[in-house]
Amino acid sequence: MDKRDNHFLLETRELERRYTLPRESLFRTPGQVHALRGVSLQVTAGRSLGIVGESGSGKSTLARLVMALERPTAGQVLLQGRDLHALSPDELRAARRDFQMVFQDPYGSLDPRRRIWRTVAEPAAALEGADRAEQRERAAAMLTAVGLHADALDQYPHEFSGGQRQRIAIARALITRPKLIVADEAVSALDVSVQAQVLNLMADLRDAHGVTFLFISHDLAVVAHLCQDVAVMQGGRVVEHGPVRQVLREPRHPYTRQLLDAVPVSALLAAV
Amino acid sequence: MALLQAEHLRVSLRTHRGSATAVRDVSFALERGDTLGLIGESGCGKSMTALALMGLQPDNATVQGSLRLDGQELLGLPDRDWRRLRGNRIAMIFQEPMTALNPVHRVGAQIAEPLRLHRGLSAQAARQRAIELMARVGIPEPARRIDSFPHQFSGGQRQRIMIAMALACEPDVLIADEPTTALDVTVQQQILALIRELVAERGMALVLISHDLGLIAQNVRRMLVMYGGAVVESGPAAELFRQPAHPYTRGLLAARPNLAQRLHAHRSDRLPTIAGSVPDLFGLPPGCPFAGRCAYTEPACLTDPAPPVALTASHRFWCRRADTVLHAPESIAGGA
Repeated sequence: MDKRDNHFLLETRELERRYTLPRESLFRTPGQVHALRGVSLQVTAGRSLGIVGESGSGKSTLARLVMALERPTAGQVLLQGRDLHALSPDELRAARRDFQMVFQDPYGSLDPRRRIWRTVAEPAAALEGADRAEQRERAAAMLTAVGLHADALDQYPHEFSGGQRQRIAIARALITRPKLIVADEAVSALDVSVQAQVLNLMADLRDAHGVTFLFISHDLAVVAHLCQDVAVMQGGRVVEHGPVRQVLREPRHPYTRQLLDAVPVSALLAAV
Repeated sequence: MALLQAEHLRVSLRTHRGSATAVRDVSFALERGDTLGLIGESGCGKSMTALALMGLQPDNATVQGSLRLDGQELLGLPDRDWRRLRGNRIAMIFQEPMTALNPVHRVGAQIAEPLRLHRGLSAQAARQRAIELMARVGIPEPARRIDSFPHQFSGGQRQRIMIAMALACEPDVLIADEPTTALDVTVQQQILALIRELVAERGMALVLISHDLGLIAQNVRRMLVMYGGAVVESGPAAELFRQPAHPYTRGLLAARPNLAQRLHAHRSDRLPTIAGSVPDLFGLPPGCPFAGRCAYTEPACLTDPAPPVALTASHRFWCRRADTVLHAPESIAGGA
């Protein structure tokens, strides 16, 4: 068992999450939404996992539980063998260095009134107590790593385009040198040419810094591009899970086939 | 005479930073049953073009050129006359059904409104027609759901209701601006199939606006590729995807991760990108909008407008360096 635990960067065991709906009547028990119904997944270091499925399939709930932003109703999230939801608040804070998140909306996820260096260095300040000089220095290094100029340090978010903002969000996620980055629809809002730049950056980080991604997206082509493994979710369950090529070339579950059929033909035909 | 004809359509915006041209010299003609796609990235002018077609451009905008519906010039019409056309002969499906529908009115009343206004139907008749329309766009139990509010529907159903509203008066021209961006992939397909079906059934002309190459490829016969407010390439969609000519079109097609290549061949992890970023509308060169970002730029590209180059009778692109560009190795995505 111990050996298996060490083997996975991230593991979820029978993860369940129910949300209670607002009470409709004083005398009736309020309804519940079963967002996750027993999700067991393993992520090996170096093999990024893509999660695909429709809205309402539980993808984002899974991301929130993996990030320990919410507690599961049942089940465990193990990061490098340690149960995140069993850690004390202090231990959890310390553990956060190893896993960071990039959100969907690069406009909503950066504080408009803060200079870029403060936003980027915040995890280093909060988790590692870096002083001001060190924060600026590390922020500059991260901005360079994501292909931005160090001039960006003293600028504000509104001075950047969508793709640049998403790079800033990625620089922030990278500053503690995490092993796992959870990206929830992180390139979905970007234009095609900008999306290509951000995907290239993610592939470089994966190769150069050994970052593993848990990459949530509705876009199969993007997942196939970046990830080695894929899990298909529907109605709070994982219905198919395996190496990306195998799953998408020979889908077993009807829902995976339905998702593949929904991919516009040109994306499939352009290879001819 | 074309059903809808735009000639040298130009939209200029006055802002506190000065004047910017959001749409430069866009021309096209649409016949009944035609489907036209407008594709490009944010800020390329595709949505501003759509708004100009509806006479809904912002207050600080000036529209020049010519826009004719059945030969009648629309530019310069008083708002009263525009109101008679909108929702009646030209209708639009907007991007976000949650903000385009009124949250405090029942959907039945919203679908019936254009019928009451334009067709003068009685409340009873309009309601009956609204039920039929809801059934046609695939809302189950329409007679019961007609008195529901927008929030009681799912995203896909709300978009169906928007379509029912747009279709109520059987318009001649339907404009769909990113109609499925907010929806799930599988729902996207259903909504587009519905639009396709209705366009064919009623002989409407469709203008579909999207940044999604796949979606355009699948749903229109002709397309315009826009960049920096100008059309850089136009032609039959199939031909344009097979043999993209303009360096921007080639770049755009190559930048898209390709599922088939990924699954069936070993390809590098790097996607070809377009160097630089989309220029500010205020900083566009007077010549070709893509000049400067384009690998083939020569000094004249920046100063002189790019001439049209005809590849076939219907496939054209605008480029000063067409000879060099066409002899360059094909881009990967267009690969022959």
